[in-house]
Order: sequence, then C-alpha cells, then structure tokens
Amino acid sequence: MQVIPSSFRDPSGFVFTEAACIFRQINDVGIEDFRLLYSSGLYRALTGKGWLVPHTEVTNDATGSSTAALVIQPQKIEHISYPYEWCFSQLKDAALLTLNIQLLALKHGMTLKDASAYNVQFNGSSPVLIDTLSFTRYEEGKPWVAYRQFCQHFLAPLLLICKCDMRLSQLYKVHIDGIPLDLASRLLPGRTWFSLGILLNLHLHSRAQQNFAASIDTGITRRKYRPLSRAGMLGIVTGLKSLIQGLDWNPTGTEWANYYSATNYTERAFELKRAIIDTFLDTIQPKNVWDIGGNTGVFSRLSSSRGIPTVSFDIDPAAIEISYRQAKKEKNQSLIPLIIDLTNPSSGIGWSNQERQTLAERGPVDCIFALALVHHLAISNNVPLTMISSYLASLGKHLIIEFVPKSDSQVKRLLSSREDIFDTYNIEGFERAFSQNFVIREKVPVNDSERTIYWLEKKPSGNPH
Amino acid sequence: MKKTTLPTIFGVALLVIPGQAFAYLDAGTGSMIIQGIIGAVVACIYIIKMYWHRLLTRLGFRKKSDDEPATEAEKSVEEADNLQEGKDDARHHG
Repeated sequence: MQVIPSSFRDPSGFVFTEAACIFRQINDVGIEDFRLLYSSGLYRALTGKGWLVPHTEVTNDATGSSTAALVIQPQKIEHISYPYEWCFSQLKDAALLTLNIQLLALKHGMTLKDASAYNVQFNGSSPVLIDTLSFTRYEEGKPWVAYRQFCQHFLAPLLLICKCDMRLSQLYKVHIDGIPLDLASRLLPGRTWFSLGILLNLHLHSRAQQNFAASIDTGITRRKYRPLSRAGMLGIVTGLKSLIQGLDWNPTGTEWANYYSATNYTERAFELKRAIIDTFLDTIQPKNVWDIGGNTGVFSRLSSSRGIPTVSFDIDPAAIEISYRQAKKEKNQSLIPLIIDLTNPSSGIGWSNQERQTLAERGPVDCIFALALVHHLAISNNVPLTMISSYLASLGKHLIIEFVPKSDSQVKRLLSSREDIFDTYNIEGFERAFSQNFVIREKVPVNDSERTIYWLEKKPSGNPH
Repeated sequence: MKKTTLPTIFGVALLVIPGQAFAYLDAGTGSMIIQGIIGAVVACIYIIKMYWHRLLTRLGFRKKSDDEPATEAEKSVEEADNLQEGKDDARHHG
C-alpha cells in the first residue's frame, strides 16, 4: 500500500495504490457528502455524461486506518498529465468541464468544494474530474468556496495565454496553487479592464484579496453579512462560463505549425515511413506508446488508431493544439497530445517535490517513438548520443527511432549558423552509442530520403542512469 | 481604475459580503467579498432586464408568454444538464 503523495490536503479521504491498482479511502468525516453524491442523483448524472470518473465500492482494509469509512476503486486513468503540459484548448475544456459540473452539482443540491486543475485528467480527448470527494452539500447563502481556486487555476492562466503569451502557462510550475491573481492582473494588458467579466473576476478580485488580506486582525470576517443567493451563485458560474467560452487562441506564427507541409520528405518517402512504423507495430504489439517529438501526431495516430493508449509529446504548443483539436473531432479516446520540452522535461514539484510526478516517473512504457528528433537533441542542444540513448532507455522498452544524417537538409539548416563540433554524429556513432543500452532488432533505410529508421529493444541488463 | 478609489468601493461592498463557509480550502476574505459584489451586479442586471422586458411587453413589443429573463440563471443549469460528453462547447473552438 502506497499513499499517493499529492493526496493529503482534503481530510475527507486519500488515494493509494496497491498491486498496481488505484484506490480511494473515504474517511468518516467525508462519508456524509459521499452518500449525498449518490442519493442526490449527482453521481449517476455526472458519470452518465463521462464528467466524473466512475468507481466501484470494494472491500479493502489495506490502510488499517481507524478513520476509514469506505474504500472505492476508481477507473484508472491511462496517463496522468498536468496543466503546464496542456495546450490552450485542453485547459479551456478542463475549465468548462469544472463549471458545467458546478452547475449540475447545484441542480442536485451540491457544490464543488475545490476547483483544482489537477483534479481534471484526460481520457484521450475527453476531460474528466477524478476527485470523487470534491462535492459537498450546497447551502443557499454560502459563497462558492472554490471560487478563488478556480480563478487561480483556470481563469488567470487562460487569460494570460490569450491576452499575453502561450508560454505563460509555464507559471503553473512555479505556483503550485494556480497563478496568483495580483501577478495575472499586472501582466494582463490595460484593455482587459474594460471587459466586465475580467474586471470583476480578476482585476477587482485581485484588489479585494490585497485589501482584505489583513482583515482577519480587524475582525471584519466575524461580522454577519448578506448571504449570496442561489441566483447570485449561478450568475457567477455562468458569467465565468461565458467569459471562458469567448476566449480563443490561434496557433499561428510558431516554428512548427506548418511542419508537415514544409518537411523535406517526399510524399512517397512519407508513406514509406508510415509503412515501416506500421510493420514494427505489428511485430512489437505494444501495450502503450509515447511518441516523443510527435509534432501534430501523424505517427502517434498509427498506434492510437489501433486502440493502443498513446501520448504524443511535443515542445510546440501550436502542434499540440492542432493535434488536440483533431483528436476531439475524431473522438479519439486513445491519444493524449501534451506539451513537453525534452531538453527540460517536467520535474517533480510541490510538497517534498513529490506532488506532481516527473515525466520518467509516469513511465516506463512499452514503446517509444523518436522520429525526426535525435538531430534536434544532439545538434541544437549539444546532448551527446550516449546520453540520449540512456535517457530513452529509462523511458521505454522498445524504441522506434529515426536517424537523420548531416547530409539531410534539416540538419544542414541546424548547422548553417554554427560550428560543426559533432564528429561522432554519423550512423556508426549513432549505432555505437545506442548499442550501450539497446539491441538493434531492425534497421530500414527510408527510400527517397537520407534517413534510417531503427527498431531497438532495451537490453535486459540495460543500465539506464 | 485608480487604487485610491478601491477602498471606498470595497467599503460599500462590506454590506454584500456573503456568509462564511466551512471547507478544507481557505476561501479567502477578498474572494468572498468579490463574490458578493458580482452577486449584486448580477441581481441588478436581472432587475433591469426584468423591468425592460415588462416595459416591452406592456408596449406590445413582446408577447406575454415569453420567458421572463429572471429565469435565465436556472436555464444555464438546464443547458449544462443537456450537454453530452464530447459535445460540450466544441463550437467555441474558432
């Protein structure tokens, strides 16, 4: 039994793993709200729409805790992701899901007691709430206790992405409880003060926080005040909803947004590359795939279309945005596109650096795709081939990897503005470096191009760092 | 908006602060105060809309059977309830 390190804030219960299964213990203090989730009909309504992760009640006293009232086993999420890895539309959909859930909860006499972006995960292209204990009884007159958290976790980052810069979503990595509203208010352009929704929910909200930060000492909070009516609560939630629905981000101007139309592959070579990967997949039959440097997910879809759970990583938010929008249209339940910079992958953050996992901790997987990637790592970022090999060996068992030689125009472009200090960057050097950790199973040159695609399998005695 | 005017606004806002709620998160005093303000703004908009609607009805521009705007908040709940998985708000992705 191992308690999930991020599951400590809410005394109503906690999540633990045992024998590779995930469980949630509900404590005595949380059981009344949990029962109400059923008796109000909210659980059935939410799971019927796919908005809340379904669970089964189990007999499991693994925790041996005296506060345990019940243990449930939620349906497992294939790949845990975090808001700093999401593209704009993933974050927007997660925010709208949270607000729709709040509206539905109010209909059933309940309310969300938290609105953390980390409580939303993706089943393919569908966001889903994973915290079954996020609900409590709604009492008319009480404000929305999760309002501050919603604004910090969703509203502020969405506005910063739309009105300032996509890269500001990385502020999540520094601020574990969402982006501070005073910071967002300072960064947002002055014209946002003229939008009533942004003015009230962000700028004035931030000023109110600052003005009343010290009010506990003055006794202000102990006074009795006018209650917030149900209509007022609904007004706040629907106001946030229409504000967020109106936000958009267009993936233009970034370096790879039109990559597949600008590639130096001929159409025939491109088809050959697909066929080679398809053949490898037929043989490997992987249980799951990570396509690292997957761009808009063209090759990720070779595995996801077989129903293999696939995560498609790329550094370019525009490529991930395109891939996610396409996955939604396809109703793709096997593909999750995520933003990852492989030269600086997600690290462990939060309490004792364990609340949010590193990328490697969420692996290893059965099969890694590293297509048209090695030259970016080796030449643009100076990573020695041996270090690329050992890192990839720590992430997966099988590796489908493409070697792009110096004679390829893409590599020539990378070398055009710098000195060539990469003496061992050739096919022999590549094979020597990767043979440290892998066995070469197959090697297929892509006709009509300078490139070669390898199927490598990790050595049983492989020595990942 | 200049910072100096804000204490005045928030001073008035104290009259509309909603009551405390118990939860494991700190709701934040300022965050509760602003909810009171937004709640009041929403209420004002409803009242204006309702009287506007009644005026238009009296002048014959609207039929009596049209929904009163005061029910809009409840409509939003029904809208959320009518959404189906995968279809929610997809139309808003430009």
